[in-house]
Amino acid sequence: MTSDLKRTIASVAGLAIFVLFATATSKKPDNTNNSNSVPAPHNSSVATTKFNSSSEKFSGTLDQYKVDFSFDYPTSWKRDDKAGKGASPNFVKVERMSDDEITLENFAVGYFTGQADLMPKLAEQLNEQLSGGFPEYKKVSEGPTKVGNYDGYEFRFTSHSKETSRGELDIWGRAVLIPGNDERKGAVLLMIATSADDQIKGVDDVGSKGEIPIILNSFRFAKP
Amino acid sequence: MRRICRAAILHVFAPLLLGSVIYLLFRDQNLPISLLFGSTLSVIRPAFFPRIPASILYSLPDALWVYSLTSLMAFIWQNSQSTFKAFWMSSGLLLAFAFELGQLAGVIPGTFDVLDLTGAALAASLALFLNAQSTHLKRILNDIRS
Repeated sequence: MTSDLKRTIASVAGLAIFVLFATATSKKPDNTNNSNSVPAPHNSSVATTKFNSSSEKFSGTLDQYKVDFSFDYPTSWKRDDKAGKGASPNFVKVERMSDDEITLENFAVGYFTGQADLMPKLAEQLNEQLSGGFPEYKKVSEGPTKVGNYDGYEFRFTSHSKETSRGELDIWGRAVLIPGNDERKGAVLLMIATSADDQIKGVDDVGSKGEIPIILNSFRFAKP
Repeated sequence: MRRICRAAILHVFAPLLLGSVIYLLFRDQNLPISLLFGSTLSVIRPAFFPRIPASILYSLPDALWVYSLTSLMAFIWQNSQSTFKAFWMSSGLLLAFAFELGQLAGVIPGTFDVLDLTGAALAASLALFLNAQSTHLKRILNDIRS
């Protein structure tokens, strides 16, 4: 056997091992970012409050792009009074905070007018907007997802804040774009969690651990 | 022989191991490699390790993978005059670019990141540079001996 043939065989073998290794550290195809059929809430006995956008009054852009939806959120969560008013991009924002007023999780619903085929492009625009609002922002995954019965498109991001009352904190986010159809407009679901919460250990836990699953499980548009 | 083993450990196995450790300890717990080691990692992950910037967590393992593969190919094709030498020695970089561009096109799961591409290019360059230095040094030593 010639020397170059031996080298080629060794190279092919080495390459195969490395590709195998890369595969082992890649996302599984059936879990591309998004094993996002929402898991059952961890504690279904949690007292909840219903939010129904149809009974709310919005102004300006929010009124223009209004879509009827509802969800239940734990009663212990706090609703942001500023959301749904003035220049707010969100119809509603609810938040779970620690005793020392650190955000553990929050969930907001914003307006979104695009159709399904535009979602990657619109996700990129939203990503650009969000990147300016979070320190050390980095988008870490992107792809199709599902929230309840709704097909959507999501991206996840990480951020790191050094200046909180608890010192350094990791911030993990997930933005889900649900496209509109002939019957209704779409919506953006924005979820944030921080490392101040013991149940959430990373960006992949956003919306699947903690209390956000209670919200996601109950999220419905008035028109399918 | 001992020198080759030492170089292989330092330039091929150690970077690969370090990249794997980063994946295992800090990255997605749903990856196949993480599932092999069960949930024990989720206990030590936050407790024993400081917070690491996302750019390191998400780009360094890929760069280490490229460095390791390029070093391996450099070892294998050292002193060869084959026309395929350049192809094999750049295979790590080519694969990394293919993965990233596949992600950009949406045919490979994951997120395209320019930082990953830059890291891969730097890693491959470093591996080739260090290998060339080592080969050059070996020649000088051989010349002195002869």
